[in-house]
Amino acid sequence: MKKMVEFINVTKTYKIGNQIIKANDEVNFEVLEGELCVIVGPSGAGKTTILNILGGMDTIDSGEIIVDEKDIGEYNLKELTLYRRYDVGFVFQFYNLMPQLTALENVEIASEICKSPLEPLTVLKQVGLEARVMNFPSQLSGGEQQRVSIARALAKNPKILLCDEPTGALDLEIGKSILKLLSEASRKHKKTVIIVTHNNAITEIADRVIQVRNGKVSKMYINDNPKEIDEVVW
Amino acid sequence: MKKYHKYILKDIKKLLPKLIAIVLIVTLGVGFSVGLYTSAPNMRYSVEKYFASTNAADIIVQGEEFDKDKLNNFIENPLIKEAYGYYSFDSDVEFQNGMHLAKINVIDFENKINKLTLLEGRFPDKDSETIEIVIERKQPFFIEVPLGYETEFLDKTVRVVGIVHNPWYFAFVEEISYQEQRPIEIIIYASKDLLDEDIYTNVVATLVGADKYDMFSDEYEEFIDEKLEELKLEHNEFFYTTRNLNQSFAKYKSDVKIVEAIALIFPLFFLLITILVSMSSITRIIEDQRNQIGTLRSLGYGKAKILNKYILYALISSGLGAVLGIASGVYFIPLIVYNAYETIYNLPPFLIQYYWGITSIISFSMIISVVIVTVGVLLQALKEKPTELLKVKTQKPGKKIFLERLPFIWKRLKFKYKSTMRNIFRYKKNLILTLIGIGGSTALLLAGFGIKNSVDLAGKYQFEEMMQYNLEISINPTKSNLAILDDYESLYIMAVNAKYENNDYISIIIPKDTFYTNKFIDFQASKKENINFGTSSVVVTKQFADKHKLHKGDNLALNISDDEYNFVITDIQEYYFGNNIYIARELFNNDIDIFYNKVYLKTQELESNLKSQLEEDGNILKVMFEEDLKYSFQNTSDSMNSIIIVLVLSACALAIIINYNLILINIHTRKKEIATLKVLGYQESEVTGYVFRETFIVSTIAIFIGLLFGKGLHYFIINRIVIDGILLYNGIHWTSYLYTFVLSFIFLIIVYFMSIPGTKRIDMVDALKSYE
Repeated sequence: MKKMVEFINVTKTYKIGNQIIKANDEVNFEVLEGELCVIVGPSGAGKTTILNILGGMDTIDSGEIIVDEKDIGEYNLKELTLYRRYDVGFVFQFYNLMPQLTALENVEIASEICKSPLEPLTVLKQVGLEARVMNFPSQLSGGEQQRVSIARALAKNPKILLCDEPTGALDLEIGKSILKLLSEASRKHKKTVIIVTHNNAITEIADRVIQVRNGKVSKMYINDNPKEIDEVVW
Repeated sequence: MKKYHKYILKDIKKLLPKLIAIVLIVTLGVGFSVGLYTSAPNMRYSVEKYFASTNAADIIVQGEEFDKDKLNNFIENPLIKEAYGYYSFDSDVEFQNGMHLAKINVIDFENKINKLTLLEGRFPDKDSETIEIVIERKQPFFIEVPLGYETEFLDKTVRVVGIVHNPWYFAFVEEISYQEQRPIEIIIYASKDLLDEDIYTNVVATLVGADKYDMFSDEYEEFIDEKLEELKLEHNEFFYTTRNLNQSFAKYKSDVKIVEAIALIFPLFFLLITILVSMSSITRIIEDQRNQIGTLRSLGYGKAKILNKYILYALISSGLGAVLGIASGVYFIPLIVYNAYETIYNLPPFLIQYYWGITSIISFSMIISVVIVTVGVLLQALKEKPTELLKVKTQKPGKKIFLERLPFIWKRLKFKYKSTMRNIFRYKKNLILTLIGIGGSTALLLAGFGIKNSVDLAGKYQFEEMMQYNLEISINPTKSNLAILDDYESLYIMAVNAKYENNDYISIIIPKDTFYTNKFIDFQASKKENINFGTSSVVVTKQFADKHKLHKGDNLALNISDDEYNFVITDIQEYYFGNNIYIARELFNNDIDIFYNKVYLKTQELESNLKSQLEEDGNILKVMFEEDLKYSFQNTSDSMNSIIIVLVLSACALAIIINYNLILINIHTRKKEIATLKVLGYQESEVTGYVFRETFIVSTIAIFIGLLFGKGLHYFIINRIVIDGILLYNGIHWTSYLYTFVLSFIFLIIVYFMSIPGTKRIDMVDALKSYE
């Protein structure tokens, strides 16, 4: 399988007041196409920074980020916008849905600007929300909102799906159902899915695990036999 | 407790950018309101001081030549405070390019009334060999003569040595010679030794007790009129002119009244806008600080403590705004308005008078409104429990709107418009702010343009419709028919002045025949209703009728040449320039000697040819062309330009501030949505469009509402502006609607470009990580 994502010596520093914080310090890792990858580490380790720059929401100081053979580290703001538009799907901890749009419209708002989007209704069916398509986010539970958010990311038909603590605000059972959807995206639909979490238990379902500590990748390994979601407990 | 105060101070620094919106709107509100409101009193004050410093006359008395005894007899009247006599006559004098009608005043330069102010050169020297004269300063109706120029009159050579001004001539108006019935082109002041005898024609006088009154007040006018009646009992051989009959003063007084009428609407309007803008700013601040408020509440701080903190912020920001507004508006706006009138007056230097009463009332009402708004918004927030406050307020949920019940419209709407439509109704406060703010400034703009229309259209209808003749000829009244006029279509009329209710004079027109009356004068009761002038018609012009509350069918008693006549009004005529009562000749039976002293004429011939030709006939006394009348109308129109410019400019400033404020609010309330769109890969222009589309739609609706409201505002203002002899047309020309519409849109577009950096600045990562 080809490399979908590759980080080569990526460094990112932030300035807070007079303090310079190295959020990513010479980060190196790779993710293959179609893999379910979990990036894990304690809070402040720099995993969200990885996600932000991989998602084209932030720029880097040095290094290379190769996504599908292109170095997005070189992109300017306009190119990054197009990169987000065509190549990336996001799922956030707090969903970030548009409150004035119905579930269906929230998916449409993403799909209508893409090159080869999936049919929004089909995707919503796929995440099990057929009955709720006409509801506003305020009328949906947390889990349902996260499903809409996954549907929105999937409908864009992106190259990579980036998820920032997707189960962080949900209880166990609902969290599991969300992870199931994400692993399906990888297994059934051959999407490259990258999940960022502080929850070690989730690593058990991943094809590839990247551990982050103090702004560096401390360990990267392949799970030869990833567990089924139902077997995992946290 | 001290820690808490320190914390308040730290906090205020952080909140400064948000408080600035309040500071700005209060600055603008107080500045414009106070400035415009006090413009009229300041205009009066400057001229009043000028009149006081030159000891301007209350009355000028004119008569046949009289001697020193008679003068002294008049001056000794106890009603007279100070007076002095001089000799005045009008005569053609040669100046550079030919003969010009001059008013020559032979005066004593030591006089104490209507003191001349020297502008250039010097006053005449008594011991000089040639007689020296000074002339009135230049204005559009007077010719310019260089210092040192020599000419002749009364068989003597005179030399111009100075340029002066007299307080009675400061408006750019045509002074018509009473003796010659032609415009005066130069006013000359010569020293007494020009005359060989001690004779007088005029007296300038101040009256005892007059200086107690504000000279622009009705009380002053009434006082002078009253004293004049008493004076006339003893000296009825004279003709009296008061300040209110003086062209410069009367015109200025009426112009100031217009400024006053227009300025009056500003304070209320700005107060409303201040309330709306501060409400949105305070709401934003409190939403940002929910967490802090929650923390303080959970630590056991009482509601009052927290309230105090925000009241302090409101007081500081609105107080600062008021101070800045006073500093910038109180002096400069009246100065700007005053200077605008320099184009049609030779005004004395601007003197500022501070009106602390009204300034405090306006400032305090602004400050108090901001404080009340703050308390209101905060009390609403404090209703929530501390634990709720500690959670970030959930975004306002979306709701289906009424439009979705109309599937034939809703289904056809593009997706992004659906989102926009829902958002419009999601934030009702912003909706109301836009409707009132943008609607209001649009209304102000339209009213401004409309007032200009009302003057210009009155002129247009007057000269193009009402008056179908273009020449007015005064003839020797003993001739009832002039052969020279036989070739023209003409209407002979008898024009006399009549007295109505003791104090008002009105010109009575008795036409010779009804056919040409109807042909030459377009009698209209309104734009839609025509009147036919018949053998029993008594038609009164509207302004006169309105002033005296006269209606169709009312009795009308007139005093013509000391005889009482009674009529029944048959119609009220819409007529824009001057006031007349047209009475059918037949109604007089044989009670009055009918003679014709004027002729209306319609001709296509060139003015220059015709005028000289007609004036050769000894029976033709004066020829007046339509153009002459138009000129005086144009003058009124010009005098309103300045205040209209101020009105339009402030409406523009207001529109931009409100628009910008709205965009800021929109960006602020939609931070998260904007960040989400950015993450989804929406481009800058699409994101700006998302924020702007809503402002655009609501503003467009607001503009249309504003146009409707502006029509009403215009009508209101027009009815408050009373210019003697001119009836303002109460409609607005369609181009003004167009200009207003286009201008309002230009502001929208300007603000659109101003809003781009605002959306660019929103950081996706920052906006999305916060809790929901």
